[in-house]
Amino acid sequence: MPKQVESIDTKNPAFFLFLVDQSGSMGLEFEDVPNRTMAQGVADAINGIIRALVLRCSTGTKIMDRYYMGLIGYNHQINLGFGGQLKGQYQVPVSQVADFPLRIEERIKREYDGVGGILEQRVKVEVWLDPVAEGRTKMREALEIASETVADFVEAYPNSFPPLVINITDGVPTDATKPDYPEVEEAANKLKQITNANGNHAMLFNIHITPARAKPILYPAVESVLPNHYARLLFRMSSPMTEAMIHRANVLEMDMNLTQGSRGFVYQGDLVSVIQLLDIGTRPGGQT
Amino acid sequence: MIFVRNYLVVKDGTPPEDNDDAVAADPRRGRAAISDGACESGFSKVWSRVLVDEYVRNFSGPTNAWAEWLENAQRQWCEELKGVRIPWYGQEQFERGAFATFLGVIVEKSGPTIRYHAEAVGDSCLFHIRGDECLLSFPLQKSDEFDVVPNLVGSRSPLDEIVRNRATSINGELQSGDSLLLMSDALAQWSLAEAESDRQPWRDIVDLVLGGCTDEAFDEWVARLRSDRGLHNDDVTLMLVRDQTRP
Repeated sequence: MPKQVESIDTKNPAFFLFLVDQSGSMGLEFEDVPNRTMAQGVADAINGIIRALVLRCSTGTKIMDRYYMGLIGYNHQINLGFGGQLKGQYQVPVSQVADFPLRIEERIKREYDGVGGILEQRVKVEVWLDPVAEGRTKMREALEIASETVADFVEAYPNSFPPLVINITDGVPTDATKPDYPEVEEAANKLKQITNANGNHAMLFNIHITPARAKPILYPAVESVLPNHYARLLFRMSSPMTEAMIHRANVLEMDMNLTQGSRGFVYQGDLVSVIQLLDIGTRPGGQT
Repeated sequence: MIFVRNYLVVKDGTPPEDNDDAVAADPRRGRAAISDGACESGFSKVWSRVLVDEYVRNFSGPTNAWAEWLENAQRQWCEELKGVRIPWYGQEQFERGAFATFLGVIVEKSGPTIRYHAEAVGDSCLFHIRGDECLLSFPLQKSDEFDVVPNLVGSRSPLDEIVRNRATSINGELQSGDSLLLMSDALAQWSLAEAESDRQPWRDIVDLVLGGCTDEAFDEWVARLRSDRGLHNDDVTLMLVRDQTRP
C-alpha cells in the first residue's frame, strides 16, 4: 500500500485516468436501473465524478488545478474520451475540464416528495463523456496507452501523489489470449510498476459490471472469494486501497468493514457500486 | 489600545493570492480577529475577509451581539459578489454560501484591570500566554480535538443556528507581560501537540514575534516546522496581541 507523503495541490496535482469499456455488450441494461443501458449509466457516473472533482477545486470564480484528468474509451479502437475543444488530450488540468464540457444538458430530475407525490426539478448536467456501446474490447491496448500516459505524468510531476487509473468493464478483453489473458495482466503490472520520486506506485482499480441480477463482490482482500478465473485475474490486476480510502469507506460514507489489503476492485457491480468506487478512489488521502 | 503583529504563510504548493486565511485588527479600539476559509467552499476568501473586517468594525459588545455584526457580514458578502460573473461550477457554491472558522478578541480596560473577551466558531485558537505557560487554550484544548471538518460560520446560514449551536465565547484578564496568540488550525494543533510532548512552544513563539521577526524570517521558520517538526502543510496564520494601555 502506498505510503502517503505527497500533498495534493497546484504544485503537485494528482492524476485520475478513467478507462471505459465501450464494447457492444455495454448496450445491455443494469438490473437496478431500468431504461438506461450500462453505457449510459457509466457515462452518467463518469460525468458525475468529473463534475464533483471540478467542484472540489472551485473557489467559486476560478478553479485551482489540484487535479489532472484523463478519459480513454475502448472498444474495437481506442477513443480519447474528452471531445470538443479537449479532443485528443490525454491529461487535462481540471480548470480546462471545467471550461470545456462537451455540452450542458437540461434534464428533469424526479424525486419522491415524501407525501405521495413526485417533485420534478430542472437540473443542468455537464457532459464530458457520451455513452458508446459497439464493437469489441481492446482492454490490453487501453491499458498500454494508460501506462504511457501515467509514465508521462509521473515524469512531469514526480512529487505528485501517485496516479490512479480506474478501469470500468463489463467483460473480457478481445485483444489478449484466452483463457488467462496474460497480455492484459502484463499491461496492468507494467502500469503498477511505475513509481513516483518517493517510490510510491501508480494504482489501478477495476470495476467489473454486469446486467444480471448478482450480488456485487466489493473490495475483496483475498483472491479466494472470487468465483472464477477472470474475476481472480481482475483481482490480481487491482491495487490495494489507501488507508484514507479504507477509512472513508468504513467510517465516513458507507457501512463496510474493509481492512488493509482490500483491493480497489468490484466484481459483478451495479451502477451504485460504480458510483461508490469512483467517489472513494478519487479521495485517495493525499494531504489537501 | 493593543499591540498587534500578524503573519500569514500560505500552504506550500499554493500561490500566495490563494490564501484563504484573513486577519483584521483595530489596535486603537483593542480589537483583532482571524478567520480560515473552508477550502472546498466557494467564495470563502471573500467571506473570511468580510468576517474579520465586520467584527473589528462593528462588534458592539459581548451581550447578544453576534446576530448584529454577523448579519452585516452576510449582507456585505452578498453585496461584494453582486457584480461578479459566476461560472457554472460556482453556482451551487454561491447558493450554498461560503464557510469559514472565526476567532475574534476584544481587549478593554475595565477599571484597574485589562479584560479580554473572545468569540469563536471552529478550530482557529486563542492561547493566553504568561511566561512559559499557556494559561488558557480556546476553544480547543487538545491536539486530538481537531477534526477534519470543524464547525464553520456560513455566509447564508441562519444566524440563530450559528449562535445557538456553533459559537462559543470566553473572558479573561491580562496582566502586564501577558500575550494572546491567535492561530489558525495547523499551527494551533502543532503548538498543542508540542506542549503535550513537554516541548512548550509558547515562549519561543512570543519571543520570535517580539524579537522583530520579519515576514521572510517567519516564512522560513514555518518551512522548517513543516519539513522537520511535523507541522501539517496548510495555511498558517499567527497573530500576537498585547495590551498597550499600561504605562
